[in-house]
Amino acid sequence: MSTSLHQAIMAVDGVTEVFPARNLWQRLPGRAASLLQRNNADADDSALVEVRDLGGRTEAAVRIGVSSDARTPEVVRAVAAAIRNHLSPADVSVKVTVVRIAPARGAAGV
Amino acid sequence: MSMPHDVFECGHTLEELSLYLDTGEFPDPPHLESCPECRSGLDSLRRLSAAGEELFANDLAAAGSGRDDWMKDILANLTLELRPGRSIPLHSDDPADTLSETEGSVIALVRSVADSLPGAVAGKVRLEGDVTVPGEPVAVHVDLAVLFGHPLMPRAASLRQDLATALARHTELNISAIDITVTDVIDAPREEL
Repeated sequence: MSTSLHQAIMAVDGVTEVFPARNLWQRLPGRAASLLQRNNADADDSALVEVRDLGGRTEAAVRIGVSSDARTPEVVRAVAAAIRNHLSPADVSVKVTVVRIAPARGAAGV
Repeated sequence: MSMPHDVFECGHTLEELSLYLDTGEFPDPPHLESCPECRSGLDSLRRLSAAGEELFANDLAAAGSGRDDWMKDILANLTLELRPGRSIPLHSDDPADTLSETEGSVIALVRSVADSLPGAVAGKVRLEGDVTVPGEPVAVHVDLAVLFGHPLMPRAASLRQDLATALARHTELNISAIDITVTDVIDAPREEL
């Protein structure tokens, strides 16, 4: 589901990237655990979209980049709507955080 | 020139980013794909390097001539600004949703607009006011280093308008003022006759 949800978010006009839902420092405990448990070394600790079930309610969190040519507030609301639509009919709360406003990739690269 | 060593929240430094631009080497290359702060840092260093070439016809690394205090200040500010910072709320269509943008993303936007001004480089960029509360007045402060000989007043007015447009496009902040201060006037080296 995460991949298709990622695709739904990227399909929103103005979205340039989806970054890992958690900061590196939030992911470090998971990395440490996977290093200690070698059989779990390939565990995905950098999910781009975090979807959790919280007692019957689905919570989705994503961090995105927005094109400097777009209108960030409109893009963010469109992303929230896309996530809500994708997870329908679940009872959903959506958290969208813009962490980068810059020209689309390809114009500058990494 | 020595680079600030302060460590970002992700554990990397401006010096590592600078080394990456010079050599392509980085301790954790995949990190550069997934860290928005490091990406913004690379953008800023690229613009700063280009500005350094324009201002001194020289490269960033070779600018350590004793006349580069302005660039040291900019690098020190960059280290501080390349952090997520406060969370700036955005209006949501659904009360269950939490929509926001990081202060770091907005500061990087302001810096990129200011850096686009010919003959100028953004120094310190600050958002003054409680950005976490919708409607609270927020003043934007931008320090600039400019090349001697460039007309300042018309360019400052133009920059103020460009910043207002960008902030209206990308935020819902109540911008009460955009203050632009020229903190350094750079006298480009002259050829010996």
